Amino acid sequence: MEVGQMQRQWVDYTKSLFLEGLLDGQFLQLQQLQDESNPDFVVEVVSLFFDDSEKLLNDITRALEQPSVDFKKIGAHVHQFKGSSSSVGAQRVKNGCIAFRNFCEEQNIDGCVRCLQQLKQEYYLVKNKLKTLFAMEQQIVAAGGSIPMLEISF
Amino acid sequence: MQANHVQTNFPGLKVIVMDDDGVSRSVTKGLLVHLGCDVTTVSSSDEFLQVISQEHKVVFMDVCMPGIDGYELAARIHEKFTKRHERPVLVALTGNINKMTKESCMRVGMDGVILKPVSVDKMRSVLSELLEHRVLFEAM
Repeated sequence: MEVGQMQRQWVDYTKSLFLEGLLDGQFLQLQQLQDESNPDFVVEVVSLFFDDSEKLLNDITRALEQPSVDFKKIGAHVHQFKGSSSSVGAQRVKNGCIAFRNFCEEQNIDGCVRCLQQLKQEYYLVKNKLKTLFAMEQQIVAAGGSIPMLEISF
Repeated sequence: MQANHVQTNFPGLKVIVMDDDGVSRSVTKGLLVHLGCDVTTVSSSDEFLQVISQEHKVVFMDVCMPGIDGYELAARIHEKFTKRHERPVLVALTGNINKMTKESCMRVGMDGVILKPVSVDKMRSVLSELLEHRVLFEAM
């Protein structure tokens, strides 16, 4: 596949992530911070997000399995997850955290369990999509091309 | 604030970013480095108190942290730096700005509060405003 076609596919794929609500404007802000002095900024930050997220999801899962559920501790984990997802522009994950936090405050265990399931779905969806995006970027660069500048208005 | 007073870059401005979340910390650091700042990051108040010095001009701190939170830390900073010109400008970073948050920040002597995540343009105007006026509390 020639570079121009790869770049067009990248643009269309990236736009789809915004249209589906998986990403918001903060992801574009991250891309603005990537330059010659920091060429891998987005991948590095998002990789950190992946690592932290999986630990948080494991911690929340274990906490919800305890005989006496510590809603304050779960709320703290969810608060952190909201912050990190917001920082990388993972909009649907962030929104999932907001709903989850409300159930923590109500100490509604069924609501928390449902939210956790939903949150895991949203997280793994955005993770897979971003990994695909980064793979496309690697292919473009390997073929001698550059990643296009994306302009999306909100 | 008039657009023609906004600095576009802040070469060598020494800033501390305090946030217990690694992702948020990295993003805020990346943003400030992009604007030319010399950034130190810390993940706790204890770590912060070890690194803070008169050389640091601005501190961005997440107010919701385990242990000593940003509010208590702001009070300790005021105790440490009794002269205003020696004290760094203190800005709270929060995921939720409401009247209560703003009042809490003002009460402990913070110089501003901003909603995170912060855009490049917003951070540029925040730094410009802070360095000129040493205060940033926008109308709620």
